[in-house]
Amino acid sequence: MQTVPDQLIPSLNASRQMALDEALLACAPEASIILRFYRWSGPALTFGYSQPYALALAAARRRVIPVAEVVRRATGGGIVFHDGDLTFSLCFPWTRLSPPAEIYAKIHGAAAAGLREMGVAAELWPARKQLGERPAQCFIGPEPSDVVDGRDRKILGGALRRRSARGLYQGSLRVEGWPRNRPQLEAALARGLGRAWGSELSQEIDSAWLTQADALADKYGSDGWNQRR
Amino acid sequence: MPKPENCRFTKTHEWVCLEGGTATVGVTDHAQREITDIVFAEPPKPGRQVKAGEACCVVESVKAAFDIYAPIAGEVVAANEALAKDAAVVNRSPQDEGWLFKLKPANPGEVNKLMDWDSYQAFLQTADAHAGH
Repeated sequence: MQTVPDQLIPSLNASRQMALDEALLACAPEASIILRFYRWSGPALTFGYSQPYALALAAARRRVIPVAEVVRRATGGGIVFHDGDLTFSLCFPWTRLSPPAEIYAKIHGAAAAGLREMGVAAELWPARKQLGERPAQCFIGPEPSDVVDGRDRKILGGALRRRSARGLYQGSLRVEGWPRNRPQLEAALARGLGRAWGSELSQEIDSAWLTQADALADKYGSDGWNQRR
Repeated sequence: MPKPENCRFTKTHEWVCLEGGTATVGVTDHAQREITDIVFAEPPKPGRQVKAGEACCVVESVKAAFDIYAPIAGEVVAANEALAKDAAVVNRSPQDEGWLFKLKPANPGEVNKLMDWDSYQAFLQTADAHAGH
């Protein structure tokens, strides 16, 4: 087995980012916990597994910053623009079938704790504060257990997939100071998540998973996947 | 409505009920409670061949998509089209109107390898009940 620190993985487009996360979900050892920070090759939009392609495409066309790719995720959730966010994924054991809200709160609670240590005001949006109908776009407003700043602005949202006994979380962080403070933010998130999941958390990517991701990338770039509804 | 007592159950919390050569599949009440508010369901399309244990269906709740597995091998002969308009019926009626898909079993006897109602109830009391595949 040959591993690659995730910092050394080259910039990827949206199809390959999604493919690599699916490869982690499919191939990583059952008990492993893997944190991966994305490096984007260009602006992109990802949208939730169940969302209509037309909705995502319309959002992309309204964006001031041109979006190079519009790609459906394997995870749920809403539309996310990747043109100034810190995107990361966490692949973890999800053996007990349990409410996703619990997993979401655990991940975001850990991330918020890490962010607070570096001076970012970060709190979980309370469960009781669900504001009407769920928005189609991730950063329109906070939903329960999203991370918000001191002015109740959403700074971290995410989405989940459960397959067999594994879970995949994909998150998007938008904070002031980005991207100048990227190394500090990555370290803060890794510290927070590492404490919540224990010392087993790894940021090493097996080269075999990269190979698997190559095989999956065509799927995420295809009309059959992205325009399936 | 298939009575739970006449169904078989998987460790991944699907139920299957074999009647007249057709197997109806859904998720158990336990599963729908854990998954919570289901907003989307994507059963497999008729004509698809599935293997036992194959991920062939997706349900989505709050920001989370879940794979659902075929309890037995066979050909999908029907999908619950009502789910497209109202996926929450899986929460309200997991073992009746919230069924997911129907199969023509490759080997009808395969259902007998699965847990019966009493065994599934006992399984729910164990730690294994909370594990996935």
